Amino acid sequence: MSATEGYPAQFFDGQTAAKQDVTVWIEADAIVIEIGRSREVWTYKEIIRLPQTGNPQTGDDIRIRRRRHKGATLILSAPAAAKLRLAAPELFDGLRERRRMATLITGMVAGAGLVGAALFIGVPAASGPLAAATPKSFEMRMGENFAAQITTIFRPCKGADPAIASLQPVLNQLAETGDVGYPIAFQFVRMSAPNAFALPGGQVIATSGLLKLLEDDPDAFVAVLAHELGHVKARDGLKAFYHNAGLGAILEIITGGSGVAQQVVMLGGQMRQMRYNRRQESEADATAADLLIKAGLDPAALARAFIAIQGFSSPGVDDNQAEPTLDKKVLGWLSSHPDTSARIEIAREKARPASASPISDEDWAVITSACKGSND
Amino acid sequence: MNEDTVAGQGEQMKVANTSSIGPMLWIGFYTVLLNLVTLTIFRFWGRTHFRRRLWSDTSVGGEPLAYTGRGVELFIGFFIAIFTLMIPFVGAVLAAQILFGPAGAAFVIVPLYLALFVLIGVAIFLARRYHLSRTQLRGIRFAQTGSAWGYGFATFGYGILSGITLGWFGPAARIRLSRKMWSKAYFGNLPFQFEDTPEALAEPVYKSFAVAWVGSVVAYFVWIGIIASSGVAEGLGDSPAIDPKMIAFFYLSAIPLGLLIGIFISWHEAVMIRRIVKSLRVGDLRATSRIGMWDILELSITNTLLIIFTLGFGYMAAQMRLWKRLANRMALDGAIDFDAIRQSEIEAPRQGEGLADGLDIISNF
Repeated sequence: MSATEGYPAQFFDGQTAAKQDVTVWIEADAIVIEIGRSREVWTYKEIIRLPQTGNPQTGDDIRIRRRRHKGATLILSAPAAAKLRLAAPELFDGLRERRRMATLITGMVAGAGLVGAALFIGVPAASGPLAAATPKSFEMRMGENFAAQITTIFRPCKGADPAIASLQPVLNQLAETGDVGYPIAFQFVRMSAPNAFALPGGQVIATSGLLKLLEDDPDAFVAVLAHELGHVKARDGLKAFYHNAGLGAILEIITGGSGVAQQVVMLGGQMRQMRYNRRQESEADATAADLLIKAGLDPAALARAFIAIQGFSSPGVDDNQAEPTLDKKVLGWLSSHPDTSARIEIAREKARPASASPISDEDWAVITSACKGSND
Repeated sequence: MNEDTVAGQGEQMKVANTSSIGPMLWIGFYTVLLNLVTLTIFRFWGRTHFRRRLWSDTSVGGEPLAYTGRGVELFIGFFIAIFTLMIPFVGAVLAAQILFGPAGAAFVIVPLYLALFVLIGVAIFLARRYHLSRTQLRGIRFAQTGSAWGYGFATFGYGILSGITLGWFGPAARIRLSRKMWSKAYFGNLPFQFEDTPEALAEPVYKSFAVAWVGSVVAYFVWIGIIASSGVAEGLGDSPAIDPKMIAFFYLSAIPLGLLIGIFISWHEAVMIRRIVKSLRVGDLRATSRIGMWDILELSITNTLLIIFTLGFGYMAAQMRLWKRLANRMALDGAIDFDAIRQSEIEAPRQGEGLADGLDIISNF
């Protein structure tokens, strides 16, 4: 034992809740604790200091224990604490803890960077090859089920069967001549915003709002459907699904969340999956133009559709309509289709005289009545 | 039991918290900030820092509590829960949507969501077991035994009963769940008891609930009546020009309504806390609480303001203020022989709270 002065202290041994009086010696690299007849040596390396208590009665005491040791706690009063501060300043300056936290946070930020890269680079890059590796039959089944689920939320137009029957040959011809690669299953749903979607595997949905908007221009309506067939051919719906599911899974892993919230995002995502990126949109435009030309139609019809939809979502551009209602603003088709002016121009450049209208006046009359009476 | 008989039996042991708001605001602030740059992964460490501080500032009989949990334990617990439960769950739901139509998908998804509600109780139980295992007083740890699944199914069943009774089973459910939890808790080798003492039973649990329930419904309809008769409602219809004065009246009149309902609920909440605290005994120490309606009401209002005005980072400080009030309104009557209490032999969980974290039902304390 050293010749230095011993200090009275208090001790919990971690075996019982009894508080014991002990004597401690503050040595160069350890504290020696004399408990009754036995001794313990706690090196400064293994010691951690508990946070200072805010209790005014015990506020000056410091409490120390050994890392990974059950319970044993030493309480030093001010004189012993002052001596310890001289012998082991690292227990008091907080440097060790700060350094540890700095390392930890650096690691976490680096990890966050990797996750960010996975989110913004990895997932989008993987969704294409994943889609390519997915069997068509699986994609079609997926699309059928998604369509069935969506139409439990957005109700299909009642009595639209004759209209769909009139439209089906046109869709079949477009799909066949354009080598779309999927049989097309088409539905009308009740929604006032003019919109059309392509789900995975050849499921195409148009809203009653779109039909109403284009009721005087059958070719423009067909052009919008041709655009959706472009998405079907490129398997954009499946890619978007993998994209969203990948993002969802990674965010779930990192941030937690109930899974319930995640699920809401997923379900909502099925609608939002129709938001493709600009490249996918212009490719679908190009495919549409190709399909329309092969079917003997004028690709400029697509430009007319864009203009009509643009007029719907941002009136005042070329008419004196009053403020659009909120749902029109929010649900506007254009929100998912940026740089429309450029797309209108591109479509116009491809203009050529149409050889024939694909839909007879009689058929068009049947088609435009698809959602009459159930139009919201 | 009055003060004299307590003094005759032994002593009254003080429970106290001396936290101040500054350090808690700071921990809350840097936790929010670091969460932003670490995709929220820092939250486990922030929560640990908060608890370490709060526990140290809380004393029982003059001795501070010690929190021995570590951020990394929460981190690992979270990942275990995510990979063993949440990812398979989301995967199954997604697969059901892909593979089946609406009816088939519902057939898979609905039972999964019901299971999720059972898991909420399981998660609460496991989080609590972790808490207690990482809490020490005088070098002795607390512990929780009992079945997590039992607690989960009880929470689920009571939740359904509370729903079909329009909430009226709620207070009974809360007491039953507290009993289930506390009667399996330990301080070292000393078990806690949850007993229906006369003091606990004297708390007007259902009287306060009835006042809160009926009072809130009546107050709400009276308010609706006032709004309807004032003509504000017509202004809220199709008319494009709504009188700003009417909007102001609508919102201003909601303040006294909110306050009144707040008073009802605060009273019931204070009664519930006292009912549960007064049922607790460990050894010969009996817990008691003097928490009152004004404590709850005042804290609800000031804590809400605190969180709003700090843009959210004051949430830890707000939780501290609630904890502090609960602690300072609590006392332990009777005596305890600390020399006789031995370290807990109950195995402590290695990691914690993962499921609660995965389900987003985590509490900082």
